[in-house]
Amino acid sequence: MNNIPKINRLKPLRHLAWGALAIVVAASAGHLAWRTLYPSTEPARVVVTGEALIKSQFSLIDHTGQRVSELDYRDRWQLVFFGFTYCPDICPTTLSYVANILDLLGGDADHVAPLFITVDPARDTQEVMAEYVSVFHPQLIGLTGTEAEVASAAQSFRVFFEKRTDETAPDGYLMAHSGYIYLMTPDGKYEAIFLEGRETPETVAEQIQLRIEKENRS
Amino acid sequence: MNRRFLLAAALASLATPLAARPAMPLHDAPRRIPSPPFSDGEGRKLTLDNFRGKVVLLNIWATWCIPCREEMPTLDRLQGQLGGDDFHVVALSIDRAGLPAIRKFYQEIGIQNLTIYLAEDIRVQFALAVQGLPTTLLIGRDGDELGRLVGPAEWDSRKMISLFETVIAEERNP
Repeated sequence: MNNIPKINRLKPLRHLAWGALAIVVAASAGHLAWRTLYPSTEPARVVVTGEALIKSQFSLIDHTGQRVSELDYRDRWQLVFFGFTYCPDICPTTLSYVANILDLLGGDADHVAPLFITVDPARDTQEVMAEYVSVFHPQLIGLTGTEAEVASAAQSFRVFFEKRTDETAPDGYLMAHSGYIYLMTPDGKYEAIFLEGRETPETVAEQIQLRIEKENRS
Repeated sequence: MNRRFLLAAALASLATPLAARPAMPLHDAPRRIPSPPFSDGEGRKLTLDNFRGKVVLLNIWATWCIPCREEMPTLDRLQGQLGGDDFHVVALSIDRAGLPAIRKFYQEIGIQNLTIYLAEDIRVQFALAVQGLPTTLLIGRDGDELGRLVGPAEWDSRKMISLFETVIAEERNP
């Protein structure tokens, strides 16, 4: 077929993975939190009391090769989302969505750590992550690690993911819709959830700015 | 027996090659769509209105999207075969890296027939409800969306060509 330059090195992987790898990220906790925030369509209101189960806790390698944990972003709000760079069928647009939020935040983006955590660490090595995030926004931080480290990070956000080998199922489409984005407080607690396609980047940026301003006042 | 059949069917569905997939699914009725603003390689401002009167295949893609890169030669050949007064392929990039990244890729794969079009990613994503790439829309002569395919395809396959030829013929004599 045609040669596919630049991201060429991913090509052999594609052959290896005949049947293709689709990763479905189902954020069940995200759903719950969403319902709590926007219960309007639900007659039976879900009421969550106490502290959310979702918390930011991880030990991963950033795209520059540094070992990092949530403590390294203590001075900033964390905007966390899970994903992957290898999309043999349908590529999610979440990174460009988040990049737009960062653009809209302007100077306030300095108060935000946008953390893109891969759920496909076998393919998304530090080098792959570095190349990929650079395409979208200079402030984006790509995080990878071992399978166990990534699973542990996903667990702390109550994100569930699994590998599927069915290329033709509508899962590919679902995958593109899994754009849950978690806003976490600077001390790693759950603050809000945003959903790509549901909220404009303008809304998300405003929501973040409101919190930054509130914090600055107090 | 029955179970074995189901299993065989399930296994077969795991490995359907691209070419064996159904052609582009069409909507029951045409849908009005807004046009995101975009520009061509020379920086001319355009919208889909500029293509009124032609059947348009609008392919939304980016250089970071591997399946988009892989299907691009089939779109190029399709434009070579059907492009003209009745039909036009608009390969609309949403690359934040802009024109240089697109030009480089067009050169690398030796694009012959396609024009460069570029739009702001978020404008396209929201105007056309795009959440995954590639997304391809078939647009009628009056600007309505006739069908949509999310995911890659072999755009110059015989099946696709005959679909487009049918739409061109139908839309010519309403």
